[in-house]
Amino acid sequence: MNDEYALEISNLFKSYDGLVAVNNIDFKVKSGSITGLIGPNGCGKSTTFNAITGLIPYQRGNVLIYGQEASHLPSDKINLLGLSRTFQNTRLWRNLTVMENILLPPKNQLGTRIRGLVFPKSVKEVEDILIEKAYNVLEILEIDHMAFNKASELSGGQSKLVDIARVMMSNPRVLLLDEPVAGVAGPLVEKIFQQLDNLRKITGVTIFIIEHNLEFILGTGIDFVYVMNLGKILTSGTPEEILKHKGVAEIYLGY
Amino acid sequence: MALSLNIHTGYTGLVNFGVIFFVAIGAIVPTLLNRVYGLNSIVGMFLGVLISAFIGYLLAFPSLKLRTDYFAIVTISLGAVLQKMMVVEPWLRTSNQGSGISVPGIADYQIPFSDWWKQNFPTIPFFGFQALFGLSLFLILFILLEYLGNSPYGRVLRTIREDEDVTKSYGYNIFQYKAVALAIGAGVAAFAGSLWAWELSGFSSQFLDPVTTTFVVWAAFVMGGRGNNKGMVIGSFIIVLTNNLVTTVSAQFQANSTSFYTVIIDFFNSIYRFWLINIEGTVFGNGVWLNFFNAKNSVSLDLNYLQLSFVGIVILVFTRYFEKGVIPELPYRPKRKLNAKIPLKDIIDTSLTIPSSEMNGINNQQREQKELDKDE
Repeated sequence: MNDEYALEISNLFKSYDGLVAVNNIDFKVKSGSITGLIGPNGCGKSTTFNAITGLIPYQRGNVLIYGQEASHLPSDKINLLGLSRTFQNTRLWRNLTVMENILLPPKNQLGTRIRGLVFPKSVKEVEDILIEKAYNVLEILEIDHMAFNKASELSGGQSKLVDIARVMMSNPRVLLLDEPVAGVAGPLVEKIFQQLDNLRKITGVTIFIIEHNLEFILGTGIDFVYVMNLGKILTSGTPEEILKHKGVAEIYLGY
Repeated sequence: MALSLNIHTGYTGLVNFGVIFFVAIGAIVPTLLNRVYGLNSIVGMFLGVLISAFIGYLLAFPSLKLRTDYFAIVTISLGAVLQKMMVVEPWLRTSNQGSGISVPGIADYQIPFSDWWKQNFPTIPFFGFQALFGLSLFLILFILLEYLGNSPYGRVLRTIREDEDVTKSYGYNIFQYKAVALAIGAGVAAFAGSLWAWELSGFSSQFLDPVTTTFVVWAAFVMGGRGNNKGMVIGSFIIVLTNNLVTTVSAQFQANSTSFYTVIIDFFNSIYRFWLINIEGTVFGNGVWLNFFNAKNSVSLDLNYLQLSFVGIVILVFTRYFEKGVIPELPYRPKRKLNAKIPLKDIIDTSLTIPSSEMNGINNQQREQKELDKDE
């Protein structure tokens, strides 16, 4: 098993009825790194994400997750390979409480199987531990006071945080975060990135972030950045190299 | 029946307008088995539930890929098909009394326990036993369903209702969950059907009329509040009571024309007369009522329609004042027990990842390829 790269994408091609959204892109995400994918609106970042996670079908392309073949798999199988994602427009289960929202993702819960109904006692034990874990995650993200609110009552920034809590609970090996800090209050953004950095150092989780705000992504301890434009990878490099790159300034500042 | 709908639509979000299909299976299977093979009706009842659940599970395969509204249409048509079948096929039909032909109809099947009861307790009417027995079975069922709904399994079903794509991207095979939910709901509906057939001791195809059954069940569902079994029970009670109230009033009216009920009926009749003669008559001409009634005095309401419109009024009132049902879905609020500090390293356990070679049902090609590689 090849553990050097958490994600290897090659020749990914996706078009919507002839409109090419992602045009034969290749990239690799080193395991244990924080890697960013930036680009202006509508350049195909989210389409790439959705294709990798099996949410939308794509025409061509190979996806390897920690060296394991994952091309064209449905999203539940992809998740079982250790890849969890957040959504750009946070899709929480709106009529459930925050607690319920983050109790569902952990894998291999006995209680979520039909045979779990026969063993109420062991399900209860697992549930107690999970609730404890959930509170710890909520404390890390400083939203433990919201645990009993319905997800529909949260503000945009808070639901982003719950979404992050949710992927953290799902025991991931690779985290795909789709604009995780859009709408989150300024000081908290820094904290979130600190926590993500922490998370990466302690658990070795690989983090792959989409962000269209250049400053956010370049100001926080990110290792490697891919820049996308018009469905293609424009360039890649460390944040310093990206800042110096001429083409990036061109697509972002328009000259 | 409302409980079954709660599993389908309340928890899982599958819009099912064909509850009656499963109810009918539950009613037909035990009665037919009893008439044709002389099988004990209680055994038949459980068989009916199992068969219905199995059909519910099978129904998942062709129909679950459809969008919600198309799934609803499929279920409507299922109900309609069954109703037509009952009209056409004599062996499914009910009343063979008077026809002289001995077909295994449903009407006169052997009612479970009735002989036993009449031998041992001749003074107490059999109806009392029926009510008690039905109620206790219902209570057991209710407790089981509450347990299901509040378990983590029920939670998965509710997330499917909220946003199934997200549930899927957290590693849940939503198709499997939906299919099982359909099966459980179908089983519950069949259970209700068998109890119903038992109470009526036979039924006709009108009994499966979508207006008076599916509609009424949905009314109970809407009033009770989705995702809450207690709400279902209360909703059903309100609907059944409204229904029975009107039935009693109309029956009393026919039996005794000088009673208190006459006042109520007269009141509704006078409103109806005023509407038909004085308002519609002046706008559209007297033909509106003359075609149906000979004289002004004979203009009167058909009480069966009054019954349905009563139910409608009750629904309107309840949806206006209880938007989420009488008892809305309860949010889950677990207390923190251990108060322990769990290090981040233990929260995220990456070892739980399942290697793709061990996943069943996928990547068969790949696995074969691997085996080929090994051979080489």
